[in-house]
This record gives sequence, structure tokens and C-alpha cells, in this order.
Amino acid sequence: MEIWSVVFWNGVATAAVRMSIPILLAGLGIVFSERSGVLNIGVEGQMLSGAFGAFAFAYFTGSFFLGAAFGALVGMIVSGITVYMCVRRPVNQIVVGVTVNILCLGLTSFINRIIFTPGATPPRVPRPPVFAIPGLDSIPIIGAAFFRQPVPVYVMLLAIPLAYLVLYRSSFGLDLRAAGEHPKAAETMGVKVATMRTRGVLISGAFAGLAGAFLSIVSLGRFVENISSGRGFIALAIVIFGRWNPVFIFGAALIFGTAEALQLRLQAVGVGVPHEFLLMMPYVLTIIVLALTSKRSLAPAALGRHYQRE
Amino acid sequence: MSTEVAAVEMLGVTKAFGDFLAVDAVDLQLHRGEVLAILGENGAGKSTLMNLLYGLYRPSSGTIIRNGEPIELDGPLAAIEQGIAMVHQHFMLVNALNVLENVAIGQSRRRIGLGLRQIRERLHELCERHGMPIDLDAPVSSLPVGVQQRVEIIKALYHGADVLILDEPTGVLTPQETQALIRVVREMAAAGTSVVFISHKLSEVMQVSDRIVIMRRGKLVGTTTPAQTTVQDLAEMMVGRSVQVNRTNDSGSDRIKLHRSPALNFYRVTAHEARGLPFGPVSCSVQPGEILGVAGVDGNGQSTLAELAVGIRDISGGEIYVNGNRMAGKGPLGFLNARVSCVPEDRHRVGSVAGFELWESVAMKNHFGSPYNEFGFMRRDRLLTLTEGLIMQFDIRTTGATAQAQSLSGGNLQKLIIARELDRAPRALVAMHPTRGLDVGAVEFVQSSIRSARDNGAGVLLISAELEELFSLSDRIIVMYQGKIAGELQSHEYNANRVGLLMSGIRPDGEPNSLRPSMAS
Repeated sequence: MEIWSVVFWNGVATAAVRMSIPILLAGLGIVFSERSGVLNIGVEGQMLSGAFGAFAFAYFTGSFFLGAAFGALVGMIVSGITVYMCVRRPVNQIVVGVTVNILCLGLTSFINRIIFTPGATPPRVPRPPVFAIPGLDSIPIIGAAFFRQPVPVYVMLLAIPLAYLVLYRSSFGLDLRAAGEHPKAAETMGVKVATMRTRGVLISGAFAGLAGAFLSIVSLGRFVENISSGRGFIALAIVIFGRWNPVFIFGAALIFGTAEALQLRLQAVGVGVPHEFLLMMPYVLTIIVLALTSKRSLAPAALGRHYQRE
Repeated sequence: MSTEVAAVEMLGVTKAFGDFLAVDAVDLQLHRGEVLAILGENGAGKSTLMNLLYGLYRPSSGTIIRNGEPIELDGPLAAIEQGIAMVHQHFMLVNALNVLENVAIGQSRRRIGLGLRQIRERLHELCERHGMPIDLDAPVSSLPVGVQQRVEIIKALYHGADVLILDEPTGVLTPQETQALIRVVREMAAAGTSVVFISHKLSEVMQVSDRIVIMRRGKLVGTTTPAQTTVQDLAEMMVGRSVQVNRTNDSGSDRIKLHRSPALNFYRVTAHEARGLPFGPVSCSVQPGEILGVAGVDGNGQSTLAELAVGIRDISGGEIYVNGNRMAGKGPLGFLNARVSCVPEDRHRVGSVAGFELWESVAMKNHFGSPYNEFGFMRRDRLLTLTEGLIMQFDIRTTGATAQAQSLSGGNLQKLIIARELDRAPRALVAMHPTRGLDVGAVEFVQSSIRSARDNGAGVLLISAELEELFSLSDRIIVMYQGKIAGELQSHEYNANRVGLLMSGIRPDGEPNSLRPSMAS
């Protein structure tokens, strides 16, 4: 396949959007958590747990939807650790997040080996079929990117406007943001800061679980150890880059999705660069993007700080 | 009036923190449409009393009666539902949100949408009725402090408050903004709102209130009205002994000799933006034996000025001279060695270390040189002797040189810091809000210490928000506005109105260019 052909770039575009979805979902979740004032570093672990939970449930029930729903639920349950430690108790949010990530990496690998004994053929679930939207899917690049995707991609893209509406147009979103900007002021207006933060973190966990489910049962059709491979951390970075705004975050996620898709395709085509260097691309990009991010912080004013009622 | 049901009545309300009675069996009535001033020194229990009424604390005993019915307040929300609202000293506004959104916070248990249209209409109406123009779509962070305070008041009225508690509302305002606030308060009272006005500024209290109650050590010690009392009487009731109000300045411009090199000289100094405010260019100088007062609304560059003057912030242009020596690039240690002393704004976090013992706090600027340091080791014995001497000399109430800094009261901690700074025989002394939050006795002591530093030949840069303090101590006053010097006044020109105009960026008439050449040139 020729690198400068429409076919090649159509392929990149399709893969780019699909690759960006897990980062996007995790990122949208992080916005809820961080807007409420809680750093959810554990998003990587929640994603990984969601990926495993979704795969296992889809495999045993045979239902794609139950799998996805269970993935979100598992992510949410794991985020309960963060809620207890960081909202109910004043434990350092970064330390808790890192601990959750390490715990989940070990636990998912362990349970995976118990349930699915390593053998010759790894268990799989059928991946949802691609649904091309007639007419639109033949537009070069754009059509390939947005109108020739598995059904879950379309559904997940709807999460962007939904998150935006909830955050900026609903009273829940306003109270959530107030809790993350000036919790004491919010409290004097009758907002229960701990409740808001609990909800923010749980929503974040559910999104992360869903992101994991997308990786295992949509993209791959199976579970492998450390399937998330740092995407949760990349999501944390794109939230900063995307200024805690769902729309910008989609843009940022697309950049990373493109980087990942490109490195995969370039590997397949076979350019004269060792594939390890291509694999590095999204991660190097993360570092570059963070270094370029403006110093003027737009982060919620009370982000990462525990709030104690008087 | 006595037959009418009071808007709020407190009966025998007591609040204990451990053994300490912050509020001790207080009986208080607040009538409808009344402005009630609560006067008292810091720590007299004013704020605790109001936090009880606002539901932040629960009384240890006693009853709060609202419109004739006893009520239990288990939080600010309950107070809001009872129509009781409080405007805090530190505004409870979310800077990142605009005015409308700030008012809309807290609806999520009642509705899904925000209903901004109805809120906008209602706010328009309230703003108009009370003569308080506010741009409802402006982010709060972009509004001047006086307007932010109006937002707080409007927010309270929007939520149906007819009892409004204002906690030290004029601390951050210019004299003009203060007058505007007093008008608003009088108008609200005329419309039937009951206002509690907490303050320690006697002249404002005389101007705004219908009735004044005085608190001391948690107890109500007197009730009066402005017509029945004088500022002098109020001050005595507040402190519990006779005090001198408004000591006049024994100013002598003749006392200050023009030295060839000023103690501290700023020449066209600029600094990088801090807290969203560019700084400079600023030129000013302090002569040995002179107190230069710096007035201004908080956040107009005074902190930056002080930080530059002690070297903890770098200049980006111009020059700073101490005793004629260029200080560029010398850093805090260079300023220390040039004998610049500093009484910082935050005595707990910058001026001292809470967990240190007193001798360690004293050692903080003496630990690196002879005689308190030998071969890299501190001479604890000598530092202990020094500290004990300072404790005696400055009358610091403590158990000894090995007590912890955090065990000292605010006034005594400030004395310790001043003792440390003056012991170094400074050529220049930079004092930021040195009496903020202190009781009257400590204020007198701190002010006389600053005078004696001046008399011993130090050039003093005194930054304060209290105009009376500036007028009585300073030989000259400069006024800062938006990171620049808006004007300079000689002691015969001192006048609150004039300073107030400069503080709000307006130059008094007849003085088109108020930047005068500094005394050094």
C-alpha cells in the first residue's frame, strides 16, 4: 500500500477515530471528577478493570450490551476506592490514584489467569459489525473517519454533547463546578460538596470503565494483560490540554488517536523505522503537548484539595 | 418597638470551644428594618455570634427565635431558608463563573435546568430597586471588590433574605466605596431588611447604625445608639479601659535630615505580573529616620512593593538601592546583609514557623553568622540568651524561650517578630499590615516600636490598610493604585477623602500630575 494514497489515509482516519474513543471517554469522565475538585489519577486502573469486567461478562453471557454495562459498573465500583479515600477521608489524591492503578494491574492479570487458563487459543468475543452510513461514507477521509464505524463509536460520540450539556447547561453541572472551584462558597449556597464530588468521581469511574470496555470488546474482541497500556494517563494529559472542556478534549483525543493509528499503519506498510520508535509516538506526543500547554492554568481552583466541612 | 415581634431574638446563647466561652450567655434582639452594629475587638466573639445565627455553629446552650418561633439551624442552608444571609469578609463567590451563574449555584436538588432567564429578570429588578448597577454577565474575577460585595448582597436578597449579616464589610473598600455601601445599607433597612453590621471601625458604626451593641470577651457589655454616644465612649467600652483615639502625629519634617543615600530607594522599578497585576514603574525613596506610609486598596501592588524591598521577588527593570548600594541580583540574603528588616504580612506562615521554638524563630535570620554560628553549628546557648533578653525587653507573654511559636497569641507573636527584626539594628524596615488583627494594647506597642525604629535612624516603609494608622505614623504617604504610585501626600495634606480618591485611581482636582520628584533627587 502506498503511503500517499487515499486508501491509506482513509484507513488511518477510520482507525484514528476508533483509537481516540477510549481516550475521549476516559477524558470526559476525568472532566466530571476534576471539575468537582478531585484528581482521579486512578482512571488507568478503572479503565483496565472495566476492560476485564466487560470482556468476562460479554464472554459468559454472550451479550455485548451486558458486557459494556458491566464494564462501566466495574469502573464505577473501583472508583469507589477514590471516593472513600479522597472525598470521605483526606488522603492524598495522587498517592491513592497510583495505588489503585497498581492494584488493578495486578488484580486483572491475576483473575484473568484464573478464569481463562492460558492456552493455545485465547478466548474471544465477536466484535460489533461496522455500520456504514450510506452516501456519507464515501466522502474521502471524513466519511471514513465518522461514517464507517462500528455502532458503539456513533453512540460514544454522542457522549460529547451530552457531557457538555450536563456540565454547562444543568444545575447539577453548575453545582459540580462550584464544588471544584470554591467548595466553601458552594456549601453556603446549599451545595453538598462531598455529594457532588462523590458523583463526579463515580461518573468518572463509569466513563473509564466504558472506555476499557471499548478497548476489550469493541476494538480487540479479547482481553490482554495491561490492555489499557497508559491510555488513562494520556487521558489525564489531554484533559489539561483540552482545558477541561468536552469539545476541546475530543480534539485532543483525535490527535492522539491519529498518532496511534498512524504508527499502526506505518508499521503495517513497513517504513524504514524500527517499530519500537513508532510505538513511542503517542507517549512522546503526550510529553510534547504537556510541555507546550500554556502556563496560565485553567484548572478548577480547588482541584486536588480536600474539603472539610466546618 | 418593644411590643413588636423581633426579626431575630437570641436568648442566653452560649458557644463553648472546650473550656473557652467564645460567646457567653448573650441576649440580643434584632428588629425589623434595623441596622444593628456589633462592635468589638478581634476575638471578642462577634464572628462566632454571627456564625451561630448563620448556622455554621450550633449553640452550646440558649435559643434563637425568629419572628417569634424558636428555630434550629443545622447549616447555612437552613439559615438561608429562614431568610438569614451572611456576606463574609472573604467573599463566597466563584471567580471563574459570572454573576448570574454565581446566583444560580445550589439548585440541583430542585431542578434540572438553570433557569437563567428568570434569575436575570429578578436580579435586574433587585439591582434597580436598590440602586446597585451590576453587569450580570461579567465573570466575578473581573469585577472590582466593591462590586463583588454588591453581588454578595444582591445574591442574599435574591434568596429572600430579610436578615443580612455583614462581616467587616468595609475592610477591603475605599472610603468612597464605603460611603456607597453605607447608603445601600440604609436603603435596605428602609425597605424593611434587618442588617447586622459587624465592625471595629468606630466612625462607620456611628454613621450606619440605628443601635450599637458592644462585645468584649464573649459577653455583651453595652447597648447604645449613635445619638447617645461618642467615638471616645465606644472605644472605651470596646477595650474596657480608656484609650487614646487618633493620636496626632508628632511629625517633624525637620527631624528628617536629607541624607545623601536614602535607606531604601526605588528607581523606576518594574516587576513581572503578580496576581494578575503588572507592577511599576515605581520610583520612591525612604530616608533614614523617616516613615513612608503606603496606602491603597489591598491587591494594588503593595505586597509586590514589599517583596521587592526585601529581595524575595526579583525586579524586571529599574534599580533598587539600599543605603546607596545597588541590590540587583543580590537576593534575600543580600538584602538581609544590607540590614533590611521585614515584618511580613502573614506572621504565622511567613514571619515564623509554627512548630519552631521561640529561640529557633529568633535564630531564623541570625543563624548563619557570628556570634550565633560557629563552624556551621548554631550556638544554642547564645541564641537562648538573646531570646530571653528579647522576651524581657519586648514584654512577650510566654513560658520561655523554648515555648513553641504557635503557642503565642497573635499580638505576642508579632512582638517576637518585631523584636527579632529590630534587634538587627536595621537600616531599613519594611512593615506590612503590622497591626492587622491585633488588639488595641498590642497595636499601641507595635506602633511605638515602629516609631522607635525610626528614631534610631531606620527608614521605614509602612504598608497598611488603616488610614488612621498611616496618618498618625507616617511622615509622608504614597498611594498605590494598579501597581503604580497614584500620588504622594505630605503630612499637612493628610485627608481621608483625598487618599480615598487616589486609592480608587481618581486624581484629586487641581493636581494634574501628582507624581512629585522624590526627596532624594
